[in-house]
Amino acid sequence: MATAIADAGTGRARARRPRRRGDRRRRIVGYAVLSPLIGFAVFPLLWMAVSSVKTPDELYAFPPTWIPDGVDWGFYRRVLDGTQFTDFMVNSAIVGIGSTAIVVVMSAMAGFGLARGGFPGRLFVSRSVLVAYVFPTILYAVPLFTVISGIGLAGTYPGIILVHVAFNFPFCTWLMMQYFRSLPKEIEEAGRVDGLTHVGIFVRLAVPLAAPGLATTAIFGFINSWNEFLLSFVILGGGERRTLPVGIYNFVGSEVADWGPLMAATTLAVIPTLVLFLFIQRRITGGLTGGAVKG
Amino acid sequence: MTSRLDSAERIDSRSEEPAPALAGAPPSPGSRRWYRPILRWLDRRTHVLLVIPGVALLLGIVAYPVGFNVWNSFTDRNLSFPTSAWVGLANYERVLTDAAFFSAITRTLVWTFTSVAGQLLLGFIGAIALQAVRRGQGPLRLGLIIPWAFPSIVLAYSWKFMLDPIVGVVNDVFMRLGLIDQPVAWLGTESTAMPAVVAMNIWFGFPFMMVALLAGLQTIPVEHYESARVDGANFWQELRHITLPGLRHVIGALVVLRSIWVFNNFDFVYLTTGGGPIRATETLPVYAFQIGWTNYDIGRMAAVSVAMLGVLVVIVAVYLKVLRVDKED
Repeated sequence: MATAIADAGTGRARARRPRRRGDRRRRIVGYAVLSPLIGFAVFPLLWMAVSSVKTPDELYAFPPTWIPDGVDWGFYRRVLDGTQFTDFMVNSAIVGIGSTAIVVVMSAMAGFGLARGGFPGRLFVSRSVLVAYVFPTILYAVPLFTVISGIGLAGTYPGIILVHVAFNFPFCTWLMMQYFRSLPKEIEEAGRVDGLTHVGIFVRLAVPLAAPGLATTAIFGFINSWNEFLLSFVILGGGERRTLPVGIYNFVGSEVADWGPLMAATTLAVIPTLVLFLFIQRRITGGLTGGAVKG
Repeated sequence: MTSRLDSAERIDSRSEEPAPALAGAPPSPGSRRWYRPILRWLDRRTHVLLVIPGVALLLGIVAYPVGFNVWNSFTDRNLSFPTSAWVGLANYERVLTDAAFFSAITRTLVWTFTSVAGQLLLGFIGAIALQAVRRGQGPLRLGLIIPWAFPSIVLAYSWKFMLDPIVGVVNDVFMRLGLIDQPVAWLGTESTAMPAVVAMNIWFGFPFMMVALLAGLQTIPVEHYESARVDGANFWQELRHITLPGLRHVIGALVVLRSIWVFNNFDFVYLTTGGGPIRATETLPVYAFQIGWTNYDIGRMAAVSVAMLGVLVVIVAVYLKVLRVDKED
């Protein structure tokens, strides 16, 4: 490992300097270090996708075949026709869209209020929002279940949507606050001069100007809701409203997992994320490293 | 800019009072007089009013259950029984005398430390190599970080499948390489379960570290390397005196943030091993969940949660300090 650092570092230093003797070698070393890392990063999910199109005979053989004999959609057919997978997907979509619509509005409001407001306690609120963001879900999941079931919303769409809104709210607010802060204040001051009320400035100026931020927030909000496991697991249990992660978890009943349909199901589960990312290609890296998805 | 404004929301220059836009469409002049002062009073408080719904939600869905949890920790509340009674510190006593609690703490620290260290190490090597290669940085960063946004169940099950004792590809590769003689149940063996889950977590997190560190590397001025080269510094000296000091803040923030997330991580462990075999991977979140959800013993789970919270408060205090979240602009 130490050699790897040394070699990579030599190559890395080269990137900063004008072209000189030995550059070629350094670049080759860079590739040599990077390739296994990329292979490591890509392999598990690639293997999942490849395995999902194998035939049952091929999948359950050991040693496994590295390149499938052909593409067989049998596992997908079994997942889509033989299980409740599509129901779970619909549930996830309803919960995701519903909670995202609400959380975007609420976080835009709160984000603007915190970014531009001068009221006492503003700092305390923005800190609390951040603490709520890093607060471990496990610490409130089970007591939250007693609260939600106490008001009769356990296992229902409104219940889980409410929970997902709260789950997503801290980060979305943080994201919107950053966007509103990045807008030039002069525009709002000009709005004031032109006689806009504070509400008018928010609705007529700030929100339209922050539209790209709203779109990004909505996409990450949806993805977070789509991925969320623990709260959905506790609130929805084994009921009809199970979201996709909970539904997939319940696929594994017996000791020996049915890997074929499972790999088809997990492969299908990432497609919405990939499709959504097509819309915000340029903002993905920044959004993800900024913490937009809970990891 | 003026064109954006609806005329109804503009001050009539002849009128002294601005027409509030709270009601959306402006009411007719005759009927609105009495509530205008109220609307103006509200409008001046727009910012705080905008924040209230979200804060109320957080209070109801996050803060209240947490408080309820603390209350529960002094009762014998159990999901199987409708009533509960005050038991004082009995739950804490049971938790603090439970050997599993302390071994869960140890395992959580091992899990957090090895995962974050592994992620950081691989991420650092990757960032430096990617910087050296120069080509394809954009697509590579994007391609490697996308799985970060996938559902944890997908990530966990893709690994569970690879590590499967019967059809797992990892056994095939390791047997071909001569590392093992016969298939191993990686997640089902006490000694290999934790390393396997940590390996998965390193796999999950290192691209994130790589992308963040690469961004950090690009903020180090080229001149520093050039003058080091003039002074005859070798690679190790450059790494020691330029690269690492230049990345110090990025690494600090990353380590703190990732430590919090990994410490809190429930999904990966629960979905791959469920805490087993024989508690070999039972970290604090899984331990708390088993007590509260599997055994319905909410009172005792609450006591575990409060203890966990204590550890976290320390980490979060450091986090707020390191990131200085309240710094304006």
